[in-house]
Amino acid sequence: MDKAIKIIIALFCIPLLILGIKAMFAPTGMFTKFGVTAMDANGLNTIRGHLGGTLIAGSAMMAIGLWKNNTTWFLSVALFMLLIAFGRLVGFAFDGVAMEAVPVFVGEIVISALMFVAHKRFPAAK
Amino acid sequence: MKNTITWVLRIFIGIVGLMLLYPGFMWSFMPEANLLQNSIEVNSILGINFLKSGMGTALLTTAIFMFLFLFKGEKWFLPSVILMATFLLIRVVSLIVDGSHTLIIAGILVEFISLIAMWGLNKLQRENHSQQ
Repeated sequence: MDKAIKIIIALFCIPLLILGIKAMFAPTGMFTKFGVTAMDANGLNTIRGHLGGTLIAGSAMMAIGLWKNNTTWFLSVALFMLLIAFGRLVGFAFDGVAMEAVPVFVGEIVISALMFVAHKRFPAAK
Repeated sequence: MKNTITWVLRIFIGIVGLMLLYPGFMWSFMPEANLLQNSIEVNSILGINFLKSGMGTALLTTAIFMFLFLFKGEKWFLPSVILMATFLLIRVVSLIVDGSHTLIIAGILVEFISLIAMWGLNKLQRENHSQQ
């Protein structure tokens, strides 16, 4: 079971990293699909920096957690995944439900839950 | 002297954390002003949802990690540093690729100084622990 959790965490690293790299190096194509347009360098910089940075950092934290066998990293990812999900809930409440965002929201909750479980299950490495 | 520097760094990191909470909150709940300031246009619910969750979280998480480092100790040092360093790295990449802006330079400076402050504080706290 523990091995399965570690494999799932390793698998979750990949899409996060790919999305982060896309947000970092090719934000225009990615965000046009979402109806987001950055009009100048500052807008592009903010999107690249914050969104790309969060996703890449998340992937790196999961990988370091697995590598170092230290579950504080998993707790870090759980915390920010929960905050992302909370931000989506705020969006759903104030702006309406975007159906395309629902599966992503569920994915974020699942990753967050998995990270908490991993933190609880591997106590020796805390 | 070391105690004074430790406290100055703690206060500085606390202030940066507080400064990040405000835009994080604004991105999450009232993003209009930030969209205008950053020249970002959004024309779909998915887009605004994406920005509220992504941008708000980036700032709020960084602030929370910094507070956890201040109040819960060393084990939160590296997560805070990784997050801040990734933002800094990508900002510098974007500075080269997209061009410059006053706010970009300000962001780079704050992130760079915060990283040095966190590294310095962690080092001093380690020295204090080893002396005790």
